[in-house]
Amino acid sequence: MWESWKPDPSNKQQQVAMLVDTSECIGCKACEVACKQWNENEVRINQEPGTYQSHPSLDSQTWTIIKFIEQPEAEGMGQWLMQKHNCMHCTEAGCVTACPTDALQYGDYGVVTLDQDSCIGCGYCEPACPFDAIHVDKSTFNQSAQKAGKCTLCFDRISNAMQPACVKTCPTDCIKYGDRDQLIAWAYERVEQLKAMGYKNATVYGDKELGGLHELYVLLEGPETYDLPVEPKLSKRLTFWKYGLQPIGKALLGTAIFGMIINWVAARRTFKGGLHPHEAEAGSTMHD
Amino acid sequence: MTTSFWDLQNADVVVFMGSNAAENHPISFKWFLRAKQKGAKVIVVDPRYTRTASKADWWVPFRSGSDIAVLGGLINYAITHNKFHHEYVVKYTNAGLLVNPNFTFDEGIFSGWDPEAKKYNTSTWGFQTDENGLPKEDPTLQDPHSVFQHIKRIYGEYTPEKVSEISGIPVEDFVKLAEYVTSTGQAGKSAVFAYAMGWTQHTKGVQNIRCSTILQMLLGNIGVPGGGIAALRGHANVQGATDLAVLYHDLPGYLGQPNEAHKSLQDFLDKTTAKSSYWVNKPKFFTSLLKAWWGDHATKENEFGFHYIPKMAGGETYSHYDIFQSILDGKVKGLLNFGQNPAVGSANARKVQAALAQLDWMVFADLFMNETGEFWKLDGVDPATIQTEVIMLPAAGPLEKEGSFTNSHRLLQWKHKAIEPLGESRSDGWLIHEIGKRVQKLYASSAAKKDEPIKYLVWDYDNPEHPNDFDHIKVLKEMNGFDVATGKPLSSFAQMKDDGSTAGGCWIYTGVYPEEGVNKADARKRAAPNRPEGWTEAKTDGSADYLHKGYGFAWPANRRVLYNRASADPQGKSWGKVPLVWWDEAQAKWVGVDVPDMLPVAPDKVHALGVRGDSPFIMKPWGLGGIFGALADGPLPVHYEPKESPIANPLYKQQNIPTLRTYGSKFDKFGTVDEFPYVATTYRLTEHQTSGAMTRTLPFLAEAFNKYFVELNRELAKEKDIKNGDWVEVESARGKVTAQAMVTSRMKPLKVGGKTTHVVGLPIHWSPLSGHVHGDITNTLTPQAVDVNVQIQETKAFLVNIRKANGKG
Amino acid sequence: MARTTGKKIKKFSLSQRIFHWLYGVSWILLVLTGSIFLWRANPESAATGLGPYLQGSVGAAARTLHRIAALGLMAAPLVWIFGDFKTVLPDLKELFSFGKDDLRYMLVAPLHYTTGKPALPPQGKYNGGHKVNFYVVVLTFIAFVVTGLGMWFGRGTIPDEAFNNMRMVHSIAFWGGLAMGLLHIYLTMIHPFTSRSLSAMVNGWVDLRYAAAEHSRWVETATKNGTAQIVEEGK
Repeated sequence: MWESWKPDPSNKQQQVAMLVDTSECIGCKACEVACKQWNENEVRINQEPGTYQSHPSLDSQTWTIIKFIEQPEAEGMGQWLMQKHNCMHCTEAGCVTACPTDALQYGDYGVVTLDQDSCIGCGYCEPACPFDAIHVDKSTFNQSAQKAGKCTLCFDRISNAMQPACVKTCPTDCIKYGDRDQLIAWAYERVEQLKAMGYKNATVYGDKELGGLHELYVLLEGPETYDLPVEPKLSKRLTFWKYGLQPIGKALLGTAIFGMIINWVAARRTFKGGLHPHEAEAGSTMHD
Repeated sequence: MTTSFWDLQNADVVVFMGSNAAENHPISFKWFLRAKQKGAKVIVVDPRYTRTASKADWWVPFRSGSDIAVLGGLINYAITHNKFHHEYVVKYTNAGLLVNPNFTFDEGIFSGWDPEAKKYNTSTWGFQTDENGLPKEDPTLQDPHSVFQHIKRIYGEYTPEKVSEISGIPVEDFVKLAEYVTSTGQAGKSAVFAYAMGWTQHTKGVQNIRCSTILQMLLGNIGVPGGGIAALRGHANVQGATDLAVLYHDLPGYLGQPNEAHKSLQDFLDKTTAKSSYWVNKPKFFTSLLKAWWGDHATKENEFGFHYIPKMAGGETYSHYDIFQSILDGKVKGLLNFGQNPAVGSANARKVQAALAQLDWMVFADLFMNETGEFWKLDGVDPATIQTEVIMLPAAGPLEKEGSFTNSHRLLQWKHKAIEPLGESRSDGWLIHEIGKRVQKLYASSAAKKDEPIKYLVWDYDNPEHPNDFDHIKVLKEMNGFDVATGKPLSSFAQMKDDGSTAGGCWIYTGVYPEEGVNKADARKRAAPNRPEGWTEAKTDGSADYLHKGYGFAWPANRRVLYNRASADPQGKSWGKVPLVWWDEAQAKWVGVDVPDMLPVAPDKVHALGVRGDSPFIMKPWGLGGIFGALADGPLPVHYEPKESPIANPLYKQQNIPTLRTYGSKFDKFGTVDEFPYVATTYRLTEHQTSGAMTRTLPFLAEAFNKYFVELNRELAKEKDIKNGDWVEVESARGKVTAQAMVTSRMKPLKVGGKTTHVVGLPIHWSPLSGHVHGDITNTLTPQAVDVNVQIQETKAFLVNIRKANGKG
Repeated sequence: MARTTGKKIKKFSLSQRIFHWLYGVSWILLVLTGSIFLWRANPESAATGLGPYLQGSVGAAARTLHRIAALGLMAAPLVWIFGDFKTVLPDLKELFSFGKDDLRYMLVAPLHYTTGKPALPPQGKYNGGHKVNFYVVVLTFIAFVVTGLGMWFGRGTIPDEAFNNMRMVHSIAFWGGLAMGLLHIYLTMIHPFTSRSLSAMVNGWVDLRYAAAEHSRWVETATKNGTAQIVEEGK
């Protein structure tokens, strides 16, 4: 079912998703490598000492990483959680709302697309993302190279009936790709199974958050343990900026320009030759 | 491994001990996870909480080097709590056989020990036989000379308290572990033990594995669905390299290497052919091998070229570490080094580096330059004193060459070339073929008898279509075997003859190329998935081809689970779990989901070879599983301390395994617990491969893990004032490395021998020259202390000291 | 119909003019480079047209220019302060005194500059419009500088919500400042009558007749206390 799944090319409204069953993620980072390779991204050697995690966070060239979360217990070892992290492709996306140039958009199948040609590297998307999943390249002084980068859900692959690169490479098949509704149904079943196995805090993440994410998780612990925002909300200010202030400002601008044109047409008659009507009157009597 | 990855889903208990499959065998790991999905208990017994442990139900930390104590304790627990599979043990194993009455075991020494020669005389390790040569047995297992009573007595000392004292596993945890494991000691239940270098890299490496086989046979877990010993091999094709005997002591298909004492082919075969097992066919396999190698020059008159085979000198070994010792001793002047980086990857790396500097010449074939190819650039090596001429042959990468991999579950998989090799690089096979051709040319005109093995060797793998490559199919066909007269490939090793009419380079591979143009290693027919996630689950009615018999070719005879006759009871019916093979009364033959591993004999009959229809281990004498079985270092595994140990052996006066071997050069120094109080173990990470020369050169892998580190527990770190990320020095008797500390709860202090013992861990993937990211060479620390059977080094348990480094970082 | 009496009066010193133009040119550059945000790549969005051509690397270049212009904007007031300090306090004093006449001026001006009627109340050196313009400039200057520097140097280190707030203030200041700025440009450069005042910012002098009419209180006071510099045209 999963391996051969592909979206219906005639129905762009269909919602696809990736699901990461973290209970079966072995932290091998094959997804990281496959992602870099397929997208031809640059290497960013940036590991911090004392951890297995390859990068402290995502960056403009590193679109997916596995986060390693060590949870010690008083005696011995509690859990060592591993979570693949990348763009969540929100239905209500902060980055899309924050993007002034519409380089970020809601694309087909629920994917949040990023058109790098349109990106001016302003970086407004970075703080707008509750998942720290989009970044502008700051490694270069060449500003035209400073572009935002994030997971594309391999839009180029999925729109050609292929699986995303990370899904294809995952050795344990813990990353699944398919119809969002089906994956959600599977995720809830899996959580029940995990609870029965003793993982009493297992939970699904991404079903309802931000209108529904297109990156879903089966988590072994609550989202806060993974540093995932609990009940994230789209910033009202961003929404106001994008859908209020910008249109209002433009309307005002239009009105103002229109008013000036009216004024100019009328004033040209009133102030003929740049003279005030008083001057014109006075001028006819003055002879100096 | 005895089983198949696809069969792991049927396990009730999975024990990882000496294996970190999630990190080092990630592809295999999904099958372990499927067992867990289906309700298996997954337990990791490891000094470190690894990525494997993170997916397990339970992590049991223990001291590296105490494996036999733990396994022996489990054996004892199964026996004393009567939790072993009684019928299986009596019928299928040699537990009931009576051992030579002169066999003794005292204070860690078996009978027959010669302290002068430092070796065992094994004459007292045999079984008592009757006048017909059949073994005497006691099915009640009560005879004091029975194997069962011997193991009951020897492992009786391995009480939970003793195990705890040696391993550091608290008594209650050990009992819990024993309960889980022995819960499978009954029909219809199975446990699988997965091991890798964590078991092998010890001075008792072979005995570690022997110990698990004894336990698994007691529990009735060999040859049954979800059971077995999962030997996870260290590289993609190590199994293939072993099968083809890239080893000094064996010939392809495990036929054994003749030595000086073997005066003739007949003499060799007489002395080494086992009776009453399928091995009685060895002369056929051996003759076919000789025919494959020397073709028309292998004739009945010249004993099929038996004397062309080099013979081992008595008592000599020629393993990896012997080679470097021999170079140091001036006995070896040249080295062909293909695809390895021993200057980084071998134990006691400084010694290896010094040996390289003694060579007259070295041929170095690799993808990239590395520390072995450029050893003169390493610290502590003075180039001015080195005369070694190094010739680099650029080798092709895995995607640039065709051929087969034989993976851990004995599955041959063909792979095709994806791209042409870069520039002048060539596949290793081409390089070797070319060297062979040129050597043959040099000897072509020689009339000397000693040069015949070279002159007459069949060496014609030219590929006219691809002059830069060799003919892979021709090699495959030769390994498979063929009829000499017609050239027709053999479809089964049963067709092999000892009269020179058949040839075959590796009898266990016969069937991979059953007819001209059919390469079963390239077969890719998978069974239809019956799970929504896209995999095939075993069915209780045997209807699902969950072993994917149409996919690749598993030796022998495309069999997925070895000794699968044991999955059925003595009468030939499945023990109750999903069926593997069974006796079909109507057809009067063995049938099953797998290819039956049994001679064509009814359960209640005896085969002409002396194997009974209810004895599944057809490669073992009388078809019985070898609970008692002679190795060079003992017939039963018992606990000895590692060469470098923090404690005195709590069980016996004998501290180390008596056959332990060290090399005695000035580099072979060993430390004591006073100077080096901590146990160290070495390991690999998912992100890198062995010395890292290959993976650290690949930017995306260098990026995935780039910091060399030493893992240590929080308590030791606190004691030493070491914080996460601090630079620390780790020192052994052999050398010192500097690494960044990874302070973690994933390791913990252990109570061993009444005192707190800390284990620290170091990955082996870093080196100072090759790749994009660098670090010190862990093997600077490790000792060349080796076992007697295969000369494997003890890199999993040795002693170090650790301190905060000043002035770095 | 002569536009001039032939006399002109000095209104702005060189430093004041440099200050003004440095600020003005920087402001225009900032508007142009900042308004790249307005043009949408998406053809379905409200404003299209140039969008696709202005983004990408052009947009990235705009970001560089935006920062350079921001430096100009911030440097501009220094020119006035260090170049002609004696006028700073008196001018500021006047600019910040907003009286009844200023208010009436603001109410009447739109109609007056369209139809010529009704009459404007007498104005000082700076009329009510100048004052309101100046207030907007000061307010937006502070807003732009604080939030601009905050976003420029704080990205990634300041909290996300603080960044978003800065961005909001920057954006509001943009729209407010843009409206005022365009009106200022229109009145001083395009409007048929009031554009006669442009010379004051070009060479420092303005036609005395125009000044006497539009800034009667200033001309009267300055003439009375002798601070007015009046010369013949062409001198």
